[in-house]
Amino acid sequence: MSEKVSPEFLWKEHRKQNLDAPEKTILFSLILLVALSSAPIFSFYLNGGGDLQFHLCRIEAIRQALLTGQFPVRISGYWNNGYGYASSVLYGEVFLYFPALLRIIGFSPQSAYKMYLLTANIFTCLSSYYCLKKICGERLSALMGTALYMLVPYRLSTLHLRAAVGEYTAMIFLPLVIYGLYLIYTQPGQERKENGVVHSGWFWLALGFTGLIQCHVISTFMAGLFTALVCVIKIRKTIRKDVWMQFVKAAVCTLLVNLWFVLPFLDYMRFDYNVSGLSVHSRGRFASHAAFLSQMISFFPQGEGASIVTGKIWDTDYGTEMSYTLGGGMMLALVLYMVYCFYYKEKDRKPAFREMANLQMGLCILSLLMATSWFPWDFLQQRSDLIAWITGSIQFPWRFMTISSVTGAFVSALLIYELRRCGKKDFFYGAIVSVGILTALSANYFLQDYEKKSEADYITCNDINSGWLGCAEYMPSGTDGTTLDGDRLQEGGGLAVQEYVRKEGVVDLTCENTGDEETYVDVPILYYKGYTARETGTGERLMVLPADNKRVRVIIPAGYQGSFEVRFESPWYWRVSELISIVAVAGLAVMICMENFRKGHKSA
Amino acid sequence: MNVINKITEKISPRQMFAALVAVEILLAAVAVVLCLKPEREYIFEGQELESAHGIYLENFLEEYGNGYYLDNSLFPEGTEDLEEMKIETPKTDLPRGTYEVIINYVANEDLNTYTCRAKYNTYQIIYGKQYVGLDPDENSVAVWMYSPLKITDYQMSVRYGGAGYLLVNSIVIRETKEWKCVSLFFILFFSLIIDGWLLWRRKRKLDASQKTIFFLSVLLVLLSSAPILSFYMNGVGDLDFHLARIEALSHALKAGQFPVRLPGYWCGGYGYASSIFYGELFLYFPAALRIIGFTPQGAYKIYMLCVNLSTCLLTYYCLKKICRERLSAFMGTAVYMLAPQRLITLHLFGAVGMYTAMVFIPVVIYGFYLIYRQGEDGQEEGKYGWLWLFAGFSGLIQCHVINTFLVFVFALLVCLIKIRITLRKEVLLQFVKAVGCTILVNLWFLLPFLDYMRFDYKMSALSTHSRGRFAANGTFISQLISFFPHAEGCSISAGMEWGIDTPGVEMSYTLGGGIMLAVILYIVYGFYRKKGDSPLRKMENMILGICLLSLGMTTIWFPWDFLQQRSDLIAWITGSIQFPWRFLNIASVAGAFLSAFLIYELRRHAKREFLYGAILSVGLLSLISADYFLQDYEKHSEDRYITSDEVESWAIEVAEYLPAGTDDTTFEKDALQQEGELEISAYERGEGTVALTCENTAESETYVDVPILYYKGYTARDTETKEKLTVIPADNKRVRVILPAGYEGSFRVKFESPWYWRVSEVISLAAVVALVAGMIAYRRKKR
Repeated sequence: MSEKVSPEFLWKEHRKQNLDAPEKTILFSLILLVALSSAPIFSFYLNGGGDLQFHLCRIEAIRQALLTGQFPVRISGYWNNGYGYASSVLYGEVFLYFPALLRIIGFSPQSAYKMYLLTANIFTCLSSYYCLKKICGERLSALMGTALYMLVPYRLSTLHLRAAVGEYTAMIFLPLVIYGLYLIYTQPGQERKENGVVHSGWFWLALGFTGLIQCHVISTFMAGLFTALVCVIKIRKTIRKDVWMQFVKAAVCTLLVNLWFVLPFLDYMRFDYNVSGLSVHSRGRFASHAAFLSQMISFFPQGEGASIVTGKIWDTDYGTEMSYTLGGGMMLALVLYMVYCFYYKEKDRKPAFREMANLQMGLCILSLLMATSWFPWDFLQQRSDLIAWITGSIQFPWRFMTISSVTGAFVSALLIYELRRCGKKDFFYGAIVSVGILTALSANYFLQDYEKKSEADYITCNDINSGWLGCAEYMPSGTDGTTLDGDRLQEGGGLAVQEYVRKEGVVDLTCENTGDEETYVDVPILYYKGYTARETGTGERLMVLPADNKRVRVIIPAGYQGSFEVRFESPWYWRVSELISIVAVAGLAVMICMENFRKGHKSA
Repeated sequence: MNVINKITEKISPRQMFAALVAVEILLAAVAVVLCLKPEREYIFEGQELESAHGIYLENFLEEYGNGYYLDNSLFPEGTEDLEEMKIETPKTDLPRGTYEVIINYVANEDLNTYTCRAKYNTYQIIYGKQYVGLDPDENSVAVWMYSPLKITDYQMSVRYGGAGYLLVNSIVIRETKEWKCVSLFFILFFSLIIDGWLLWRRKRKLDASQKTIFFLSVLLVLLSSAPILSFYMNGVGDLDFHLARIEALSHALKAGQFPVRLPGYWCGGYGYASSIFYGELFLYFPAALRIIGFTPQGAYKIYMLCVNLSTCLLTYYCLKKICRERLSAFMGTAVYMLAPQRLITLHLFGAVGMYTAMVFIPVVIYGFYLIYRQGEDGQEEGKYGWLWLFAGFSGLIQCHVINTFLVFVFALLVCLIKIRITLRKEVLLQFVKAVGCTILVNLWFLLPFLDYMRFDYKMSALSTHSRGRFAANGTFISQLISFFPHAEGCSISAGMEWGIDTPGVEMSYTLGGGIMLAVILYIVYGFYRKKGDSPLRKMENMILGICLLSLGMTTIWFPWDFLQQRSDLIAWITGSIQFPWRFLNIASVAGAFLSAFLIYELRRHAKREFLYGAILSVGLLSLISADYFLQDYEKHSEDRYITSDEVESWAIEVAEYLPAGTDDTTFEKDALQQEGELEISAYERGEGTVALTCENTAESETYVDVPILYYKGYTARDTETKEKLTVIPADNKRVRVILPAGYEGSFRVKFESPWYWRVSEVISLAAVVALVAGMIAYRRKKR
């Protein structure tokens, strides 16, 4: 009996057979890919880069907020020496609950972060392999595409040099978006109906965009832009009822499942933050942040530096310019694909793959162009405030290399697929060898250069500073960040404070207004919508406003004497959105379970 | 798409072409109209300027006119915020175009700055114009600006530095013609390209392999040009000198000097004989672009792109003619285009003459191939080998004398090695034709060059430096075998020889991984191949020999010291070549040809695996070496944006062509030096010209030294009588005009080509015309 419920038995039962040699090879290769791309974290140290400190703070903030019972985490009182910061509302953090839980269990900050990075790499590997295998229908092409994606220097730079957690987490979900689009445009309607939710394009599209929304709004934006572009390019198919219905389902599902995040995000975006100021900075500067051809063609991406123009905006000297490159392997794959197209007539190729490959190639080249200084960004910015706002949100054109990386990987996979079928074994093996060698070369050069030049740190809890806000993008506009220190109150005239405690984003105050008119007290908490002051006994609310120095100001009526608590409370409609999202997720889960049950029943 | 297809089906290709040409004509007409429109000018003077804390003064210090005034007594109460202490133009909208912004000011301290901004601070508007210091010794500064888009809310601010005083009289924003001329140029250029392409395509369609070659060739050109495809001009090596050469040519051409002999632009108007000693024919192209209105760096970049394109095309053409197939030709071309030595010459050295010369070396090789082909096999196609040889050497002469020399040495060597064939009548005749044609067509350059070489220049002294030093400047094996050429440093030995301060790092001297592997594979293949001769085999072996020999000649192990001491001629030759690592150019081109021959042979005689393996490995290593260099160069080079203001007429590098003994530190701007009782009533100095009105009141002759460097050809002519006054070199190498006793009048000093130089120009022209006529006649006869 115990044998029959052992994991090994269940796995074998499910598989009905052992792994064959190719499967073992694939598994082994995928493990190597994950290990190689995670190599810098397999040490005693955590090599510091880019936004690492900010993200470590986010994990600490979530941990603390969860421990105080705040769920979902909206505004953690950990930030800014107890002043709080709206990072959880404006920057998706659901995936960071995992390292936060590890912190609660007792892992050190750097261990929790490393586990998270490793997990992100594993999921990137699995998601890209799965999607490519589904598209190509074979393992080798899928493995090649996955290898290129895992080892593309831009992704490695995002992982290690920039430590851009949101962006590298988003890179897990981009293949899902592509897969979803592929299914929507190629899957016949009947097959879609028969195969159910999990094999429908709208599901994968929704899953992909859900993941993106929950980790990186900018990547969501870019993915949305390119998805819209695909819809326009394929307009004849897009306007067919069975296709646009898929998009409607995907959009609705995405909205409902993510409403718990999207609604508060939109609610907060009505106000001004530093990020708005930064967007204005980009007017006329967006193109100058772009990459040059000489930067993009490098086979030897350096493992140091940052975006120098970023530094100029934020008044920081970053020294060396970082690399913006797809690496030798991916670039060679793109060139080989073009050469392949010269030799093989369109009629000799499968239409679906040909269209897919050509589209991916087009998107890859377009996104690469958009990352360069030759794309007419200045012209477009000045044509329309909407475009100026979009470019301000994206901040830097080189972010489009995220799209180039994933589409380039798909082109590489489809190239191997096509070469395998065209019968020219020499070209096929030559392509695999040359693309593989250059991919490994570029990735390895970056990793060893990063190893050499990065600062090796060992980060304990004491080393994490709650004031690491990165660029403080979500600080209310006009806040003087240098004054967010200490926990002094600022009292208005006539107010006598008897007792005062500030802990974990909550202020308890006992006071008396001895004057004849209302007065105020500014508590050491940064003002965001949602902060309330409630009388301890009666639960009645006192008026709360933003003070001049962006702190929470509680208005104390004349003659007031008593205790009140200032804390963050989600507005009621935020709670409703959470409920809607739970229902949506539950509904989806039920649908999938029922379909599986029906399928299991049929096959039985 | 279907709609577009349906429309295009109804219109014939001829009609579409006609419509395209009509659009092009319309665009060109609009561009011409724009050129003819007067330029806009926005003048902000006096109280039209804005200043929150400045005061308006009239006739400041009774000599500086009206303007807004600031000093440190005008700070707002309680603060010393310099940010607000500024005088600026009102916000102004400017249409797209090129502008000159002129600030007229007076200041007595050097902390004042100017800066500009607009609603959209694009890099074209603000780069190099943020908080730039104002020179208190000047009263005006001009700032050049270009924007391809309309500029909204443009403002130029002059900011007070906190010390002394600042008065701003006016700020003028003046549109210039440059962008209009450049736009017209591009419209015409791209129209020609597109029309030419469409007409060519009508006659032939490209097959898959041709499309591939074309595509990959475009990528090769882009890859080897990558560092210049940016906003910046990464500036190292000789770049400043060559930019100044282009400027000098453009100035001289605008002044009517043709061909350009002694541009007066150099050395602040003193002149410099670079055009005589250093072939500049190909630089007329970027000079013409400068005249049209391109920026210095724009003109230079276009020139470099054209050189890369020409290198690619000519190398491919020559190799294809030799190998008679595309794959081998392309491999050789790719290896040559990506050869590290070529990339180093292009980008790190900025050695314009050298990299232009590398266009023509393959042509010389092809010429030799044809000549000896005819000699060995009596092949008809070899009959015109002399034409290619002449073309190659003419190209070399017109851009780099040292490379001409190097190639000539090896050409002589080949002739000696193949002496039996060389002495055959038909071969000898071809060489005679080639030599004769080369001399005649290039006489306009050679004669003045040889004429000037009779005198002493600084380069003569530099060549004697190399006695005993030549071998010490050689390379080591460890330097040659690098797959990863770094992109910084320079020749430390060159620095020591020329007294230039060099950074600590020695530059790379390497063939790169691809060429080295190709050479090794070819040698290995040689062990396996069956004996048997063909014209190509002999050529391959010759090329291999040249490659290995030239590599050996770059190293410290070649017996240079022994050879120098055997013969003054060799000492002179080595002095002219200057450094042994120059032989790497020869090794690189020979190595590239060998790569092509390797593929050619493997394709015919070896298994497919070896062929593909060779292609893959040589290709990958070439790419890796080239790319490593390019990314290292990107990392280490200094980013500059070079406008006309930054091109220095004093950028004469090691001043090789200065008359020996010149002390260029004594070149004062305008100073005349006169003796005796000479009264000067009028004096005007232009670029390389001086006009003087004077009277010699003494009873004996006297002289005046004008601020022009003395070279043969400078004359002083009386303005009225046109008679020549005696001109000799002064002690400080300036032009000295001897004025007879009692002379009273005006004369002009300027450069005039001697009559026999003019004759040589006519001869060269006649030779070119005869050649062209001969070629046209031949083609007609062939048809």
